[in-house]
Amino acid sequence: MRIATRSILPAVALAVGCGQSTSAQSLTSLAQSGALSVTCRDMDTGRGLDITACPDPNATSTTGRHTLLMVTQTGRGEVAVIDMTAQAVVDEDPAAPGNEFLPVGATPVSIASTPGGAATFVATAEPGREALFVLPTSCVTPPEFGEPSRDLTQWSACRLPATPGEMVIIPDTTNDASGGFRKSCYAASAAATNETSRVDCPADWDAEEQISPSGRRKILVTLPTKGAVALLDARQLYGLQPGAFDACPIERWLPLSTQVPAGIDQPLPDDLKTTSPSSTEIHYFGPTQTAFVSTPAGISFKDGQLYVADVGVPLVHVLNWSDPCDPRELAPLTPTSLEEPNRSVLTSDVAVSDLTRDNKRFVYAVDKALGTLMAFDVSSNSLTRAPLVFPGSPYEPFTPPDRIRTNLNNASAQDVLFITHDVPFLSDGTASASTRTLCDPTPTATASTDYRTSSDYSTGAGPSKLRGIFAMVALSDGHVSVVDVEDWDQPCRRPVEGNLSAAADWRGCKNDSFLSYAIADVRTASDEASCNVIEPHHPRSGRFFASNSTVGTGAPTLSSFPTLATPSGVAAAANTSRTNGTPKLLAVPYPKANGVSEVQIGSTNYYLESYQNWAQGKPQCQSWTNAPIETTYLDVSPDVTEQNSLLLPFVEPRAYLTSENFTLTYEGKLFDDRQSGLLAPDTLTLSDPDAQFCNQGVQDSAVTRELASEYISTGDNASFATSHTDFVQITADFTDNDPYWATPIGSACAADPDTGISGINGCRSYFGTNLGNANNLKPTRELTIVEAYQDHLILQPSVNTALTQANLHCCFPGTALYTVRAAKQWVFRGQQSLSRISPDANNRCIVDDNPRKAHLRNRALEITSSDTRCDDKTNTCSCSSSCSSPNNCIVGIGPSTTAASACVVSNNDPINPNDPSQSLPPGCVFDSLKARFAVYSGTLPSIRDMVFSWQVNGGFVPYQISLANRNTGSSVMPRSMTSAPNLSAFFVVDGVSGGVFEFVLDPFTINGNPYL
Amino acid sequence: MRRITALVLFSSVACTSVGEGIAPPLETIYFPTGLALSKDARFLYVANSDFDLQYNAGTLQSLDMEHIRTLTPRGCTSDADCPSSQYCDVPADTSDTLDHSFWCVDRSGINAGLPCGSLGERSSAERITEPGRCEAVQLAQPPDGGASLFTDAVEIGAFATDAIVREGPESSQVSERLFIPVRGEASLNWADVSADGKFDCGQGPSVTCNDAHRIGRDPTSNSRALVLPPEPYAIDATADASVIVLTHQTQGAVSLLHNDWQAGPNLEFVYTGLPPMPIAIKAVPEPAVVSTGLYAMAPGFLVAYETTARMDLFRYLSDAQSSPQRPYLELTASSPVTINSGGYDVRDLAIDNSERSNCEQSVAATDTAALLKCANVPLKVYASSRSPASLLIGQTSANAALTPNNDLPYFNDAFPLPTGPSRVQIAHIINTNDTIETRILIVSFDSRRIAVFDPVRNNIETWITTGRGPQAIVEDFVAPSADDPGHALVVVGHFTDSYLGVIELDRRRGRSYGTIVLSLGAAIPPRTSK
Repeated sequence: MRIATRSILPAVALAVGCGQSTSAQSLTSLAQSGALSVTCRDMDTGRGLDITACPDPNATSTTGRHTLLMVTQTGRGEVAVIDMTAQAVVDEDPAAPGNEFLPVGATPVSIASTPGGAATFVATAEPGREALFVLPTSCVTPPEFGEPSRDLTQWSACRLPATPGEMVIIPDTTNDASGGFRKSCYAASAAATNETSRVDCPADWDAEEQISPSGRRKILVTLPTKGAVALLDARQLYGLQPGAFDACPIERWLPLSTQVPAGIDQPLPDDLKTTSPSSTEIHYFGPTQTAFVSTPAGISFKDGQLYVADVGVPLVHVLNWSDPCDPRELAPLTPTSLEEPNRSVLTSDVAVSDLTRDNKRFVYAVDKALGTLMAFDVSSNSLTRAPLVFPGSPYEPFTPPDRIRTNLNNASAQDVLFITHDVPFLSDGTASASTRTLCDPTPTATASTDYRTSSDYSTGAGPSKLRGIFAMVALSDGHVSVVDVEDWDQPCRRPVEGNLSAAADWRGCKNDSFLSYAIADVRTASDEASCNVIEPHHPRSGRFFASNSTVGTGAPTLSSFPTLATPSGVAAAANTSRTNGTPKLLAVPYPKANGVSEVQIGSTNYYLESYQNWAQGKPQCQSWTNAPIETTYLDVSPDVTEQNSLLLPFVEPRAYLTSENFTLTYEGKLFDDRQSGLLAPDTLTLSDPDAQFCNQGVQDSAVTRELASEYISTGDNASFATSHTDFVQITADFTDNDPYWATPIGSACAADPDTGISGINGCRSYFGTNLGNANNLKPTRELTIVEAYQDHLILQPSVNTALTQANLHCCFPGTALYTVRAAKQWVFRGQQSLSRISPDANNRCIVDDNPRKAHLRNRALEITSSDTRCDDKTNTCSCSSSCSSPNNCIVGIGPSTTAASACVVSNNDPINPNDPSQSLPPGCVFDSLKARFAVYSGTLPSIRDMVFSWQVNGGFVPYQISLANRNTGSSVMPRSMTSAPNLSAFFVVDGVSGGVFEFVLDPFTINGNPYL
Repeated sequence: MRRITALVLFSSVACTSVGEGIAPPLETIYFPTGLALSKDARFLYVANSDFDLQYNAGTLQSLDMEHIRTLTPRGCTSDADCPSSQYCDVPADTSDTLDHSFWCVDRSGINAGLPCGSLGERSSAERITEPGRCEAVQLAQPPDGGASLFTDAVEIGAFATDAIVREGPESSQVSERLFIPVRGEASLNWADVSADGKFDCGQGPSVTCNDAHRIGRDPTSNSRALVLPPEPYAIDATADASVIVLTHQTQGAVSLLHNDWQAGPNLEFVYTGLPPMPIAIKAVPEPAVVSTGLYAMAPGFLVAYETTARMDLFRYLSDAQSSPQRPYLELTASSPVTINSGGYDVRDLAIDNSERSNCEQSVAATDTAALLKCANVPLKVYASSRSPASLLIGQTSANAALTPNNDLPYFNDAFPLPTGPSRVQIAHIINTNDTIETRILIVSFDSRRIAVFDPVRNNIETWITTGRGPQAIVEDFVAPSADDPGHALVVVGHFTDSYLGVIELDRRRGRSYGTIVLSLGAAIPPRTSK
């Protein structure tokens, strides 16, 4: 009985009797549930049935065909039976208090039921008493009156030679001389002929063997401590004398290979190749050769092949059991890691999919060290045995390109299950016999149109409509997550805008057949923001990747216009940036070929004005010949607009966190102040072993020079580096009561040549004091980073080298508070590291040229004016005046007062990617994974710690359903899953509550409360 | 453990100082919270907390572990496993349904045929609350008629929470030193132990450790005028005991003490402003390459919290460049614990250094390059979490040797456990073929279970049923060798009923594996349940 039902009756009784409210007391019976299997039982005859004979629409709670779940109770050494039809946990001894279950050996580890319902097999792992138990379906319900209670002696059982692991039942379709199925691999075996059915617990094995997949039932059980898989005959085990505990009759024994290839080819997609895209170069590496001991873990069987994960050998074994008496190990799959090529990748679980529409088959394996998934192509024409490396990974730099990251919490995959599901119907809404039909967004199409997303998003293609092949992943954080393998609705999940080009636009669309997926103002696609909402082997989106009044905020949007604040935290007044002479953050449209640039801010979708002007070849402030198509446009002209703005690229939805705050800070800190900076005596090396300077994005002189060549192209790289290299700022203060100042060294410290003061006041005078205002800290505290390493920095004082060095050591004798800042740049920070700097083999900080980091950037350069009058903020202009005049200042202070500006404009236009006459270096537009904009200098110099800030909502939300708060509270941890195709459902076992959850597929959700 | 938490408020207002009230019986185990084994495994140290304030102090005891081992039943599968004077008590055939012990039993003498000898056997009902076949060993009067199992005992502050032991350097006169956090008076008690298991905690002719051995109460004794914050709880120290860090159960603070083998430990620094209730701490093992002097790494400590889903890495900074030198802790790195649905309420941590250690032992101590490579071997980290009840499995990063931030582990797996996990212990088992394997023992206080987790095969190998309130745990392991058959035992302290249990983890002992085979001290139910 489900928990809700069990709790109602006592609650009602109390309520009536006491006349006051009461809360229902949960009654639970399952505990430490482990694995489960599904079987079908005729409650009238007690016999097991073909699983497809269930459910029975005419069944009652006691009659008809019932679906039974068999659930191991690992802590108690029992198997619980859940009657799905009666919706109750079966009490095997109603006469005894509490729920009693079927006793088996201690520590049951795996369970499997025959497809025809004859029996369920349980492997137990009690140390010294490892065993297989047979539970005939006829005896898994409470004993009839006069029968003995269920106990161990009632089951046929045998002793295994070692601790068992996973188990699966496979068919042996080989015929013997009589024309029937072969009884045993040992034809002369006497035991094999013992096929009399038990009187007390009958089973019709002849009928069982005719059930699809027909054949003699064989059991494959892994023996992890032996590194092998054993084959046993199910019918023979059933015939063993109950209560006896002889050695299990093992028919075949297949030791698993430990031979690991020296190297394995892992083909890379074009966007990860370091040479030209047309190159056939492939990545090559191999796991370290060492002595491995096979320890089989999870298994999955389909079409004669058994895939075996191994926590002892970096292989996924592929075993051919199409002839169970002649098993063979085929070429294994080779789990590897592109990011850690020397790691021996072990696997804890494995699952194999059905064939896709184009006859592809995939195996997913769980990387034991990371808890993430690898995908292998095991199709008959597959050429690689290594994990697939997915294209598009430069837009997902935080996910290994050969791993499927199923959620954002880094939870580990506990179990994986493939499902193939369809909801076929005809255009009139009736069911269709045709399955695997693709949704068609072609505007003129007449067939398969009913699969499209409806106008109100309530039906048709959508997140919870599962048509296709999907992987269900049970996660340690309490969720079940969905991975798209082949979504037959994928063609309809896209923007209305098409892109005929072969190059992807900013929405990730390319090679489209239509410019618009709409006809007569009716969209034929879901009008989501990206063409990559559905991607094979990627986490499924939990919501429409769109933002509108119907679906809400499902695609990244700016919560409001970005704001600018002064270093003291005071927000700049709205609409006064021009008169205040402050900088502006403005969106930069995409090239016209990439379609209309747009961004949603709040609830309004803005189209960039410049698109209209560019389309008509008009300068910025001239009126349009025709009214704009879109009425809500965004002005990005620095001369006119007072609103800060930016664009959000939609190539990869998964690049965006659900909600993320961003800042862009002038000469901002790369990290918060650290206490542990130690200036080595007599040198200017600052050591901080934990700082991870490279990972924090510190750019020394060499790195800055290298980036200059990228940022400013033909500019003066050396000069750029001189002015733009990061610097250390010592932020420590001087404490009066520190006894150091009373020592001879301290009291004589920092004899300031200007003031003659020494000691603590000398230090204060020379370096300034940190009173919460960065302006109080003198430039003497700033030290340019000549060389950066992961754990130390080699520095150069910016002023008065010799004296500053001496005073630094004297005034800051121990570890000191410090930070690192960017020089004359804006620092872009979100919740993830957006730097391209990494340590090399010597821990030196270098620019990482890995293509995966191509879209990472955390520095923005200011765009200034070449007009020398632009430092005069009174020289204003507006659209109503002569904007076409070349002397008006749209961008502020320029090279005449700011050294080594890299981005300088000499006309009045904003950055226009479609205008070849503009020759700004590419680095002047901040075009990155999560934002596209330009920063225009104000007519006053930007001030350190001046900061733009904004919030992006509506990022990617993976489709995952939590088991929590369904009578289990938040303490949940799914452990195993089992599919029940006959019910269009699968079941999930929660390892904490012991509960069993039913997940139904149409729509995808949890069905009711768990069985507890 | 819930009971411990529930009574924290009570304890904080009702604690007493030594000298008032009834003195504790020195030869009684009473709410044990700390267990430690001497370096030569000859002595078992027990810290008793006097949790119900029946007495005016807690106690620290030294037990003869060698003697305890001789009292432990020897499991067997056949007579060949037993000495000639004994036989293996197993069924003769399948028709034999008697309650056989599967232990070696005397063939003759007064204990002939008696698996429990003179101890006598527990009834089936008794075994439910006190697992184990035999009645408890009376510590002062062991059943073999030998000397008392007590080697020494002294009085310490009330409400001890843990105990760790470190070996003294050759240059010092100290053989071993015990450190015990004491909540009742917010101090760190310490005692030196001689090679013969005797305590020296300044007790002189009395049995009470003196004030000099109860650190943290005198603000004039340190350079920062500090006293130890209330409710010190978990403790760990570097291998050389130079750095000791304590957590505080009711404060967002951890305390740093520096141990001098001549002068004793001294409070140096208190790191405050942390999330409430840092409850678990573990020192990060130092790579051997640091001992070459060519590489430096500040000692690290992992800290986890009861109310916050986060793991912190603290570093000890010696402040050696400063004068006066004032060591302190730095919060080097933090990461959220997201591997399970809650992430918070982590009660204990364990670090398995064996893989790195094996690497380091396989190369010359002067081979810096090889040692540096070994330092790149990640550490396995295990945590017991109650939200939900689970074992968190993680490791440190391997991709940058001696980049200290990599000592902050990432958790990559979680395993469900019964209600109330508390302590985690790295232990070892002996297989029937004399090979050794690592196991992770997770004590579930509320559920009276100890999970035996196999980290290689990634599963719970078996469950050990204990008495009420299992808490402190210590491993007693010797690998088999040509000279020694070895043994694999674990001693668990039953907090609620105040006795110790000895658990067999030697598979050569047949069905004894994973069971309590010996009880030390009579069970004393707490007063409220009498």
